[in-house]
Amino acid sequence: MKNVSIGIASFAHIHASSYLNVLKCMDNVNIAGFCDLDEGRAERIRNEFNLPFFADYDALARSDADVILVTNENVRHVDAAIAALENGKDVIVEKPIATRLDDAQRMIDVARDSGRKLFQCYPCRFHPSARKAKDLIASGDAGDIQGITATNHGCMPDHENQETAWFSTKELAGGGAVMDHATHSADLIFWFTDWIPVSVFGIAKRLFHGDIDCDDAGMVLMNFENGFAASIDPSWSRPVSFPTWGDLTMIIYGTKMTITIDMFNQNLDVYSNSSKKIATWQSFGSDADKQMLESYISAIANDTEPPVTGTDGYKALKVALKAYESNDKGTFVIW
Amino acid sequence: MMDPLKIGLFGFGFMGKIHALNVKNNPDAQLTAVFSIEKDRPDIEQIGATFYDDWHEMIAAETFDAVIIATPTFTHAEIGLAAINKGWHVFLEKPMERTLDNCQLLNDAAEKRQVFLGIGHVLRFDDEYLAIKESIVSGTIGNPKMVRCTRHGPPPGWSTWFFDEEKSGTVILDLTIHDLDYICWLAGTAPKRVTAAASSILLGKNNMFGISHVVLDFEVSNGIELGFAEASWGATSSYPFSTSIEVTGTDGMISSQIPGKHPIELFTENDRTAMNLFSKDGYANEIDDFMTSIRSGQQPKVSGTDGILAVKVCLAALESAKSQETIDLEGFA
Repeated sequence: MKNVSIGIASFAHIHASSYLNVLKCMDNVNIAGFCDLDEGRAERIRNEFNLPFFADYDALARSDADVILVTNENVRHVDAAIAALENGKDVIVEKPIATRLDDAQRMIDVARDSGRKLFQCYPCRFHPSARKAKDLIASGDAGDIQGITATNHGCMPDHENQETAWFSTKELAGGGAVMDHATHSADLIFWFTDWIPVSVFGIAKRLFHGDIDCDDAGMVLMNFENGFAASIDPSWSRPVSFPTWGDLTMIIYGTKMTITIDMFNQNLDVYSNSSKKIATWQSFGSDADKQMLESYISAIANDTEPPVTGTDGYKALKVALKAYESNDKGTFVIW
Repeated sequence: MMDPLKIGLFGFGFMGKIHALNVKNNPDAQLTAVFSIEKDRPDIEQIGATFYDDWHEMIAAETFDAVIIATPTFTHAEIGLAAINKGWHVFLEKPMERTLDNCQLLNDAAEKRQVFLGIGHVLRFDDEYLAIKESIVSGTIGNPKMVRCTRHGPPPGWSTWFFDEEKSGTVILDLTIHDLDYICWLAGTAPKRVTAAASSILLGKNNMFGISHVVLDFEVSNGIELGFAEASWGATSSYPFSTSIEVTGTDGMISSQIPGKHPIELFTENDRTAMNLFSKDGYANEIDDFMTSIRSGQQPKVSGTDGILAVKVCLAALESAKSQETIDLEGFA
């Protein structure tokens, strides 16, 4: 397979390191370098991974990378992505695609106008459980889907840690739990069903953590043109003592099959004295990140279309933004 | 030694049969008569009660201390008012009634006649759900803030009145009500706003709400602020009836699910039975509570006011799902 060179536009997102660890092991991938506007984090990454460093998004965009992986703060996705696209690079952007629909649209437009590929990261699509559900639904084996109940619970990223505090800072993340988690589930709902929303209700509250300016709990309800409904629970409702980071679950009500997904439930119960009476779950399940990146790199190497596009990202982002709009209004808002 | 309380049972379907057994097992109660439209005589003969297939006749002919009403929702007021009129205490299966007006009629009549109304919100009597409340109250999770409940399975197969919205109030009034009542009980207050979305699906011969998602928004500074309940009749018949609950507070989370853990399970060639041998289940507890109530003169644990609130929240959710608007509960009638 053709060699692909990849640059990383920042390590602000906690997934950047996990993506890097996957990319490093891919035979046809070479890491061109990274940029990071946070000096402390840049230093740490340089020491840990020994990668060439670029001063900013523009410098990285002018490097000889083929593709830029955009994993910086949500609100800055648009800057890093457009710099890359305008310099002839393909872009793989972490979710949410952006924090505003107009930014997302600009990214889609620039990608199209410059003839570059824009990939949106939704690794859950690449988990075997999601692929299987998709197959069963597409083939008609599950019958007609009549309802979906979704959760993507999480713990709040550490607000004390300067590197991850941006996740729970509205100005940089675009929102809290609803922005962080509603989009994964929304993307899966759209991927499985092609349903067209008519109205969205969202509630976004700060319930558990006193020192943040964004929501850490929420609920999203969606009504669709066909008379069906779905709910998404994106809350950061797992406490610090919870054995793992959260979950991704779905109940898919099909007329021939009820499908339940609990994507990350393949865990060992580990009781280690070093963690002093807190049991932890150690995953032995599939690595969805790996499947996703292999798919995206392959598309770049073989010059095929992204399986998850900017438009997919736009739709999922719209769900989160409509939820916030509804929260402000106090009732459903029209899609 | 006092004579046991004379109990009349109206309805011998799914719930009626359970109540009959629990009355039988209560040493202070005696099931003397049963009304049933079902011709299930052998069971009733075993119980040793007089059988009626006309409830007017039963009310005219018998004398009870209390009655249990487990007939379909839309008949609760009719039979309940007649029983209250006779001065009998009344235990009503949930939901209390199909309409708020009828709930109010029942409550007012019972108050006037000075008899007790108990409502069968069984989760409030279930070991697991009681333990959750106790744990919260003892401070294990700090200040409780959010509750998430789910309850789903295939549609009920034992009767078709559920699939008539006029009679049952859809899945919301029949099933989601369990968790909505429990959440309000945990919160200790009514929600300010109710919002719901539901899927219309084919149930029996009708299209009606069968998959429901309900959000309760409480306006309190200290305590549960957000509640969510998903309840559905949308699963296929092989899907085991399942429930779950999680409560998150400022300091932790409690969660539980059914199918859950059982100290003993039995596997014959054809069947699997999970047994809860050493403690009574919620259905037995609520009947015991009602009997104790009658003897002691204290209100039953779950009374008319609770029943009214639960129905109000459900009907608001039903309205919300239809109109795609959030309902302000205070202004809702």
